[in-house]
Amino acid sequence: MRQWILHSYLAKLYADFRLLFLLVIILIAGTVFQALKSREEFPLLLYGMYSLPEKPKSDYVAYSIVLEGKEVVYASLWDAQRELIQSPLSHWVPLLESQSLSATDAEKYKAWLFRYASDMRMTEEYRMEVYRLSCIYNTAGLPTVTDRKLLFTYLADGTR
Amino acid sequence: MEPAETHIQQKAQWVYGISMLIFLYRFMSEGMFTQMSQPVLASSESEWIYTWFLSTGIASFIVSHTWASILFDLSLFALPILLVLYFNRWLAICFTALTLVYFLSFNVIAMHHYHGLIGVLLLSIPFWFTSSTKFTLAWDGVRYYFLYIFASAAIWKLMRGSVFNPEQMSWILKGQQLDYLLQHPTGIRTEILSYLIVNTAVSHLLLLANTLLQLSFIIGFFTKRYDKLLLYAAVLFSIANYIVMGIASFELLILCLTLFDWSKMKPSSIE
Repeated sequence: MRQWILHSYLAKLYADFRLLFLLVIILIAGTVFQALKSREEFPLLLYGMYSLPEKPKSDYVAYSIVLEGKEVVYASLWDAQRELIQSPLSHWVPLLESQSLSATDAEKYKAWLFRYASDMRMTEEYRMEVYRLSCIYNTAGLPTVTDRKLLFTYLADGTR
Repeated sequence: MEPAETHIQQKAQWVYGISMLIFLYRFMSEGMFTQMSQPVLASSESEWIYTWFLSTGIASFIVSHTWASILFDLSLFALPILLVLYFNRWLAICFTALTLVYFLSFNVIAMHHYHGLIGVLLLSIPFWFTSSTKFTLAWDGVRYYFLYIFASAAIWKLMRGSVFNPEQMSWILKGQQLDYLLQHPTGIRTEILSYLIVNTAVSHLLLLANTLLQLSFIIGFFTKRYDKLLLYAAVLFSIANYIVMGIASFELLILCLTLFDWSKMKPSSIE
């Protein structure tokens, strides 16, 4: 056991690279501390990878972006495009709906989403509509839309 | 050149070569600053480091000045090229710093804390050190971190008990693949996903297999004998993660370099 400890990575670090040893100890202690609180803060990452217990849901929410009458197909987007569109959308929409955003910030976000979505398609678009879809799963394991609500329309000249 | 130095140089070529490819992929994905169409930065962040980073104004300065975005993006491409051709520790430190700024900015803009670039960030750190002993110890440290990523994922699933819920995977897929299933009601992938959603026993088996695979990384903490197998396991995980969950974790695979048996690699010809 003693031999094993003496030949361990941490022992080698302690002997040859004291600064890194200190950093590793802080990293381990910090990560354990965060783990005990079930809280994740960069750089003390926990990597749960979908370990939180899921709960059954009766309905699910999705967002649909329609540019000039054509729906943006998320699967056709590259990873970064999808990450830059989908995640902010699910954060901004509740803020827009709760009126907690200033009118300027709300318009800024809509204008950016329109610009980015149009740029990535490399087409000149004039009209964007964003919908919220309420869905339920059928017995075949496929979702069906039960409600489609228009959240906002954005026109290229900035008018609604 | 000393053998140890040759080894560092050889690793540098691989690490920065792959980093370059990762940023090229991000460029193709329209994920670089110049391609983001001057995004709106979120004002609320839950983590202190992101709050602090936002308060520095670095991200807002870069995204709101076209010249700064171009300069930043060009530097992110130029530095790994330079480091492949001419290794220098100060350039390596600059590359880590720029990657960190990009990593934090992207996560702030995306309003989600993605971890894909952690691999590039971590693997660039050992190159800060000129002493071969310190380099090797830092490189080994990154290897342990890579093992920790997978082992931790398995341990959390076990500790939280989610792995024992037969419906867990089905419920995850319902949320995770909703957009895909809505927009692609037919096709082989849709059939696979809907099959997994309906047949909870099969999807649960998949979850158990995934947890076991992640748990197997613990062995790497005790021996390097199975590193090759762990490397294959990491690649397998990434492919499965992409097909089943629709999550691209390929960027993390750069960390597989720490599982290579470098003693079997031929020294490269680039000086």
